[in-house]
Amino acid sequence: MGKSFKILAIPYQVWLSVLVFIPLVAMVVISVTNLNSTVTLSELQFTMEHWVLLTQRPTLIAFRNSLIYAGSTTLISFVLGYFVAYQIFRLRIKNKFIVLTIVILPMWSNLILRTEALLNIFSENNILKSIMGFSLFGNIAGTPTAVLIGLVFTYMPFMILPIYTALEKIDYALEEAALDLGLTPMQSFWKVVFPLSFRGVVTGSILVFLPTMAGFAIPKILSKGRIIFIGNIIDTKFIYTNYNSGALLAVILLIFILGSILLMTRFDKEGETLL
Amino acid sequence: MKKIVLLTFIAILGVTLIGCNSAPKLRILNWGEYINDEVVAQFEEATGLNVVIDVADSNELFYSKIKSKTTAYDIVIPSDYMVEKMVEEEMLLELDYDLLPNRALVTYMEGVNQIYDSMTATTLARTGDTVDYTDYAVPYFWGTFGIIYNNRIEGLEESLQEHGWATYFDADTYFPTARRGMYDVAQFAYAAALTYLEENPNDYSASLLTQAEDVIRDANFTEWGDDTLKRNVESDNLDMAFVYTGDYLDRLYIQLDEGKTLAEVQADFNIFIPETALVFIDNMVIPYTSENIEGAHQFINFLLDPEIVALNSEVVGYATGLEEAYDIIVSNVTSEDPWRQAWATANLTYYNKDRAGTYTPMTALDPDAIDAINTMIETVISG
Repeated sequence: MGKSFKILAIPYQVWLSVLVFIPLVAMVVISVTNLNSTVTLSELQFTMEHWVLLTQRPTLIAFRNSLIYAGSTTLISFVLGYFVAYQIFRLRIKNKFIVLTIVILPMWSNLILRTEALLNIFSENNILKSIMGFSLFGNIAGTPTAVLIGLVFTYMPFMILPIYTALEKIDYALEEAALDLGLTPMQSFWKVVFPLSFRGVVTGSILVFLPTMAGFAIPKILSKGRIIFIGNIIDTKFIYTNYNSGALLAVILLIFILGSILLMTRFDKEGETLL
Repeated sequence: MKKIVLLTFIAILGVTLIGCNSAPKLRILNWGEYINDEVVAQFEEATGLNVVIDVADSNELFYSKIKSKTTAYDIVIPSDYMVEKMVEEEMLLELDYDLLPNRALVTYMEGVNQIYDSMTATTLARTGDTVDYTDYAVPYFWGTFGIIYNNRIEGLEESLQEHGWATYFDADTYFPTARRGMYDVAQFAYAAALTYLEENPNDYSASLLTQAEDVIRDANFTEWGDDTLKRNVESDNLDMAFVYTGDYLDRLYIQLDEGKTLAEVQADFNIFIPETALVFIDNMVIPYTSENIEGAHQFINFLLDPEIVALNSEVVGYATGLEEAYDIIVSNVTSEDPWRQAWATANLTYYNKDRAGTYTPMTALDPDAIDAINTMIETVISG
């Protein structure tokens, strides 16, 4: 049994090293050298010329945007998502699976399609207006609010599901004991349930923070190209085959992401809820 | 275990075989929605070749796909500046005009010749080499850039016709509350700004960059988009945007299909093409990766047939490069079929062969200049 499992793990290990590990090394190499499509390996040289990019205003603003929006999205998703997860956890129905399915229902359609649809209903003259004669959203397309709504709407399920899993894992006996020992339901929530579900919060935060920080499609569409994330700059660099600068920014982004994972895993040492 | 392996093997084999077709292949790398399927079918029938079309949505992607040699494309359809770059990097094969007998039977439009001359001139200025681009390229479609505008805004059309570029860029003087949009391609914004400043859009210097930055900042763009621009002007969510004339025609044809008349559409939104217009040309070229050079020539020759080009133009809203094809298209102006009649009128209105004006394609600026322009635009956007 153990041996055949080892063999079956090989394909993914190969996959991982060919498509993740080697490119990662290549990315780091490209970020500190002059390697690109016209430079051959023999002309390879260490250079930090393109590092001037890191002092340019647009780059700094883009990093700031990515961090602020990723942080806000995580926070909003946590506050709103926790209540949803808690409600599902407390539901007295047998088939919670259906409720969870509804939570992830938006993910059944394509991300870009969903975002474009949001952009439409955020615009001044939108499909709702032409059908009903009025629109609920006013004209928020191109604003930070639109981007935040889009990000929260997209990534909230990633927050809800781990929190719900963490809540379900809590032994009900612990709550009963807390109530028996004289805590009010509110106190038992704050002293027992919430701390025990915190791992779910951490996992959910990672799952929301990372794609938001690295993403570029949602902000580009919903801000009408007016709010630049670091992903957008990386995108532009690679489109114009400026691989060195693109790789450099990607490496920095990676450091940010690894840093935030390390920070968060201090609360979830076993990484239990990730599974 | 053995059964699983066997089944997997059979499944893989099955999938592989489905993709097989014994006819020799012609691999084309094209833009999306940029060829009439009927043209492809007729070509396949005429030559027995099996046409495989991949699409990419930018010249830069064309470049990297050819450069990386992952697929042996036989035909690519890059724009002017990318053809310059590809020729410079020796990525294209010279055309063998003996294999293109149709070429002698057709005349290129005046605008097309102007574009090829302009490309030769910019290359000469940059590298000192004289390149005749018709050695490598045959026009696929070409077209102007213009300012698509919301005709529901009172006076905007008159202002554009009277003041041209200034109406679009000088937001302080003209229509300060108008919602302006720009293509999110930095070089387009830069070239448009330079054209407004009456400079050569292909020049680059630090001082020009600063001037362009001021102009672009003052225009106060509310949207940096792509296909979204035309749709937003159409739906009254934007008032002016710098776009391909074909972007406008694309929406126009869709509305005509839905039963509107040309006049009705123009009353909602229209496009203004400045006299000093920026233009582009997409060209059929044969990259050095080609494994079917003869087939590639057959395809180019096929698309030098005016009838075929006119057929292709029915689904693509850009201008044909051949006078003979243009004549076929505009001859439909007397057609009974309202769509064909509107199609011919649109070509007469927006791509008129005898239109006076200068046509300048955007050249391949060097990578450092492109990078600086990108950063400039990002700076403007970031505020």
